Amino acid sequence: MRLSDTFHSMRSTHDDWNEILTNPSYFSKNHRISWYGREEKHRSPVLVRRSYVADQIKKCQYTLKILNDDSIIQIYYEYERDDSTLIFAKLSYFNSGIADISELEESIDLSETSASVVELLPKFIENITSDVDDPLVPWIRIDYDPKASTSPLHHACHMHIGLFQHARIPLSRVPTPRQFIEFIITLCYPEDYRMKRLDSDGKPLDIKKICSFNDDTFEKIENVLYDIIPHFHIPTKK
Amino acid sequence: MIDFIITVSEYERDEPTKVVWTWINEKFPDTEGICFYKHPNLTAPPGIRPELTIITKNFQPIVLLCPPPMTLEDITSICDEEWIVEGNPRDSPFKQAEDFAVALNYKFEKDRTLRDLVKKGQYTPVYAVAFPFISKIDFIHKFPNVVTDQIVIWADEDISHLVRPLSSPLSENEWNHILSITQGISPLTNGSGVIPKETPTLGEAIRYLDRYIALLDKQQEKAALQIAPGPQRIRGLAGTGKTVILAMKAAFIHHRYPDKKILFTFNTQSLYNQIHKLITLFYKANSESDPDWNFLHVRHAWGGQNKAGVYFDTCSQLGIEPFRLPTAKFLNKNDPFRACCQHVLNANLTNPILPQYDYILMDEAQDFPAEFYRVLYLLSEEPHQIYWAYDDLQSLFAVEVPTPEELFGKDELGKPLVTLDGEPYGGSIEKDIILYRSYRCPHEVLMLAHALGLGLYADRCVQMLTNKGSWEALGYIVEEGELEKGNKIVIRRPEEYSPNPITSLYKGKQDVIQVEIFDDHESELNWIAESIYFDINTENVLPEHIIVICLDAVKMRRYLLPLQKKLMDFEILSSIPGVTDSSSAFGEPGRVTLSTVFRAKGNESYVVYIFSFEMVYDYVEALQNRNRAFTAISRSKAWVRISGVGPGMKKAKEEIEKIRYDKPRFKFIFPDPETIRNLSAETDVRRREYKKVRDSFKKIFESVKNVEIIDALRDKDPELIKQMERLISEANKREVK
Repeated sequence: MRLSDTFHSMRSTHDDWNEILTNPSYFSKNHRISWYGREEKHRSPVLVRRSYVADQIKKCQYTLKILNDDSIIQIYYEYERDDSTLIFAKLSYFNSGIADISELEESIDLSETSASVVELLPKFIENITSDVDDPLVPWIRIDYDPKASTSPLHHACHMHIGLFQHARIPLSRVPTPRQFIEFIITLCYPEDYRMKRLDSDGKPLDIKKICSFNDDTFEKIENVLYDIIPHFHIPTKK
Repeated sequence: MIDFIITVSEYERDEPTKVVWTWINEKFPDTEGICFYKHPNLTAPPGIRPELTIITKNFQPIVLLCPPPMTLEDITSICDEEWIVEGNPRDSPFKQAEDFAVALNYKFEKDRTLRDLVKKGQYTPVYAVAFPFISKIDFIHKFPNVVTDQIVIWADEDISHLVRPLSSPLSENEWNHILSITQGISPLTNGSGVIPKETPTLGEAIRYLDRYIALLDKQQEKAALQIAPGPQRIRGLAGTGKTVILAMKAAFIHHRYPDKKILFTFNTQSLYNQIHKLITLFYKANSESDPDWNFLHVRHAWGGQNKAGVYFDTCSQLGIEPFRLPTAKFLNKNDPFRACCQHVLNANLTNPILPQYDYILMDEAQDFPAEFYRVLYLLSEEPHQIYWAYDDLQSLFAVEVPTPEELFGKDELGKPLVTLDGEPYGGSIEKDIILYRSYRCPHEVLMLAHALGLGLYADRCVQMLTNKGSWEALGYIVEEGELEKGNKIVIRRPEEYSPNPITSLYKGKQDVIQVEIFDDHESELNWIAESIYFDINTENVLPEHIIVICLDAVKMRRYLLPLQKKLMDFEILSSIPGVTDSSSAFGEPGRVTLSTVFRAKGNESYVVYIFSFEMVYDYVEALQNRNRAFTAISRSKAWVRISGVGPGMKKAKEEIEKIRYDKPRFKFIFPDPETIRNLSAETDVRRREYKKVRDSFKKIFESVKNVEIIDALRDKDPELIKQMERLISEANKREVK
């Protein structure tokens, strides 16, 4: 999948989900798809706390934000100079840890009369005095780095899930921006997915459209490991 | 003519200065200038101020010291550095006058534009001491050995030594710099100030506008520099500089009275940093150190457990537990802060609130309930030096300004605690200052905001200012007609009341007001995105100088997020304060701001796009939307681009054209105040009507499980179906028109 196709996937997904995806910051330049102001050497911690996500938001370290709860998505792809060979990718989702606005409202100063997550989260973070006030939050990250592939424990393309410190779940191929974002929405925002993609019986409204998201994908990663260990299947056009 | 600014009411009792000023006023050659009584920030150790500081266009500046009334008999001896007056030693007034002159000279020399003049000795303060009750001959007779080459004003009324013409007249730019420095506003000038140039690009015009020399007008000067010995109200529209003036005032009071307790309070959270920054800026222009924040409290009106605020501090003083937001909302859903203020006022009945402050400055006073004014009254020491800045027209629905009597309440005997009636304070310090000039909006833009907001050119007015005084307070002059029902009225806004110079700076093709009609919102949003792309890439406007405001509060989310995507397609970043970003995320570097009207309040920008403008002709919410249109347009420091769709926008465009045709005047028939009063009730009726119809339609759709039932209905009651079809068809025709 060429860089331009991947970027098209990024744009069309944002377009499709623009009722909940906000503050876009993506660009395609110098053989990369990244976000403006990306901190190159930054590594996210294993234990991600709410304050970390708030800090990432403050520094605009994201590709898109989720309107519902201020969670963030980071999307980064790096290509060879020919713009057709993918050499590195990092796709992340960090949940803000805010499930219920009233939780924040209770703990925030009276002066914060306009109750919305974006209003209250930074204030909440200001008031953190210990880890007890700063809960761990869910996160997911997919890494693709064929050079760093070492063993069944460290597959070229794998997924980390928050709190499972050494867990790397192999993926059969690198997801496109469309596949990653659709996956995050089904997983973390099922109600939004249901309203957009499913009918009242929970069946796809437009199965053809959903299938078409897998028309253009990255190549399957050829590796004998797929025959010996369980892994995540990333769909492609049949 | 030399304007006389008395900064403190002590002037009334200062006989020597009064006498000397009379002589200067009568005998000084005619010239434009300002004379300050006790200049607010011109000081020299040990903190004494010269009585008079005079700057004029054609003469050297003057620093004049008028020591307390003394006769020759009061002075026992004079040494170089020390005088013995009535048996007490005091610093030599000659030396003090010299100190002040050096201090003033230093201020001028720091300014790049004036430095050369000062260095070449072409602009140097003349300093003098005045003894208006002592004759020169008597003085020399008593102190024959005191030789001074300094200028002294004696009882013979000779002031000729003060009059030293400049070798060459000051340029307009030099004079503006001198004014800006002496007014204490110069810290707000970006860079060294520029001589305005004409330019064909928006971006460059903005940069010139941004670097204009900051100057106070006469009303602002009074409001900022005078320290009233009692309550004082400062009224002005948005953009008249109220926050800056209050911040200056706070800094000057703190500078003058460092051991007095001062409170600066306000309503909008995001203002906190701005106020802090402004006070520090003004204070540090005259001091080596930062303000002492132990004496100068900048406090949000509410506060919280981790943040000081007037309500929380007062609760703490009273030993009561402050309400949290849910409790306050439960007690008063629409105005939770009122519940909080009532909370401490109730507690005050058994455990009195003790005065904490010598001076209280309240910004955004129009946003506070009367109960807060009462709390501040209790927190202030006699003589209740409370200065409140009030926007008369923050909301077009509240055109009647509440009186101080209504706000502060009455004592046990029914006597108002605060009144602005009666004579001014000593030294002619006014109790109620109106800032006529609105600096933010260009003349035509502000007039458009007012006319649309009030509905002056609409099918019917939605609000009206019913007396000349209210119009004058907004900076208008009623030229024709008595303000009575059916009369033809002509009202003019003088250009000088809106001195924004953008139209004289920008000479490109873009009109300051642009109006566009589209078939649908998709095309409208596309146009906005393309136009912003053009602004940024061709006109060199910075993204942070552009704000897009959606007039339709309900569909805001439906439009702003797709607009964000369309901008992203042009690689333009944007923020949506209060929705996807914190509410203070206005004008973030490198980002266009997309906003609702509610969030845009209190903010401003150079290029303002307002879309869904057809909402001013909305059947249900027209009244509220007129108010929103006023707020949205008045955010603009330069250009306004208005767009909308459908027949509503067509009418709006026609209305805008009529308003612009009559500029700089409004011409309209004075409406029946009774009809206006009924509008609010009419809106309620329309809202109910809308809800009823919507609910009925919903019920129909819920009950129709399959279309066959409609066939049955058509068969059994064909007229009913026909009626419905006719209704829909008529509505569709209206849409097409």
